[in-house]
Amino acid sequence: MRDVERELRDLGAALALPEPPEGLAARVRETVAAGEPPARPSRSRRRVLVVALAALVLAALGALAVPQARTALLEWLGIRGAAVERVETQPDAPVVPDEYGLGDPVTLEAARGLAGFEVAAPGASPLGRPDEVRFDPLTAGGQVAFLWLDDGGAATALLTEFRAPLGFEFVEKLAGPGTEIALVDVDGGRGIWLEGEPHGFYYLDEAGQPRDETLRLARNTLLWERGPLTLRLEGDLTREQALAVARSL
Amino acid sequence: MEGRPREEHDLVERARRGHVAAYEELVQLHQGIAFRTAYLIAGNAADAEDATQDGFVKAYRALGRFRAGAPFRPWLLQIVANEARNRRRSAGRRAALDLRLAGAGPSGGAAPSPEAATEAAERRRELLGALERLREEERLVLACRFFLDLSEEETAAALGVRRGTVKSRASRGLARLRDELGEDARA
Repeated sequence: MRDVERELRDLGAALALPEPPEGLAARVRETVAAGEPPARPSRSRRRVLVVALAALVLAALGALAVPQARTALLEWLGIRGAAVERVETQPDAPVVPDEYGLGDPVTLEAARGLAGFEVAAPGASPLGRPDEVRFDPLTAGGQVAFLWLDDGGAATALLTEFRAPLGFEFVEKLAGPGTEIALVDVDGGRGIWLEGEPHGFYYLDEAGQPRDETLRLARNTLLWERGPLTLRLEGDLTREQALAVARSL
Repeated sequence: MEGRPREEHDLVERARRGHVAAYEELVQLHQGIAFRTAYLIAGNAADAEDATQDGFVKAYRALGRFRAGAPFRPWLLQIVANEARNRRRSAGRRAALDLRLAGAGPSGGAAPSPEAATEAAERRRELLGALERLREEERLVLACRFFLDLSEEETAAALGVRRGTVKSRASRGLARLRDELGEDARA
């Protein structure tokens, strides 16, 4: 039997793989120097995190008054990508509905090719088919988003799908006292329904830093697990509508 | 190589704060592997160049999302590889990867005899032929792992698949190569 691995390495060394072109680094430097510096997680978002962490401690005490809800919520901390904590006061929700930051519009076919996971596309539901698909390669494993738009081009509902690699990526959502939280079943998978007052939304990345998340319709939200994915549907939806969309996937 | 991670970490930190020269150093450190990865995916040098340059620019703007202290290379390769895939897709091209053997093979250790050199060249041609008959997804994984010497994690990031998929495609590809070459050898 030939040692194919060693032969492959030899072959790699013998191949004339091209070198990067001259001046590439200088051209990159020129381009980045002419543009904006790296986007930082916004100040308000960092403030949200600080408020949130403080609120978690309070919430841990406060929520004990409703042990059933607390238990249910704690169970939910096991969900791969998402976690919900109830807080007493609502930090300013950074709702930025117009620049979604979801990546480039792509065809569904392209999104399927680009995503590092099996994309679940919405089928027939009360919302109809989504109007736009976007792919964000900067999320680990990629993130696919489906948008439903009104006649003016504003998003009325949004479905995002992403894989939480190795369980590192963590989504936090702040739910104030005006938000109803319910555990729901989505085709046998665990789901959670948030309804009522707008809720702040942010991601914690692997280092526990808030991700620069610019989108949030921050309306009624359904979060659920599907295989290795966490899915999030939000918009002007009733619970029944949201579940219908989820089941259409 | 000693101290590279520390140095890289400092460069990333400075670049995050908008230090353009630090970023240029990072580009210099990684442009070789980034460009070759883009080349394997896009299938030609012109698209690979565009993908590498645009990937580096996008990575700079996205540095705020980069986890401090994480390895920079897999993250960067993911962005550059994605640019390369987009180009290939929008051009509607199948990647007919143009892999050519350089004039001479690697000269390791003692100079081989002319016969040994001829035989080695023949084996390389055989292997290249077998590689080209693999499914593209397997060929890409093997190329990332053995030609570029990317880790499994880096290969997964570059190809936008899971690590388990990298493992299974690599072992399937290697098994096919062994099958094919084993038969050739007996023939």
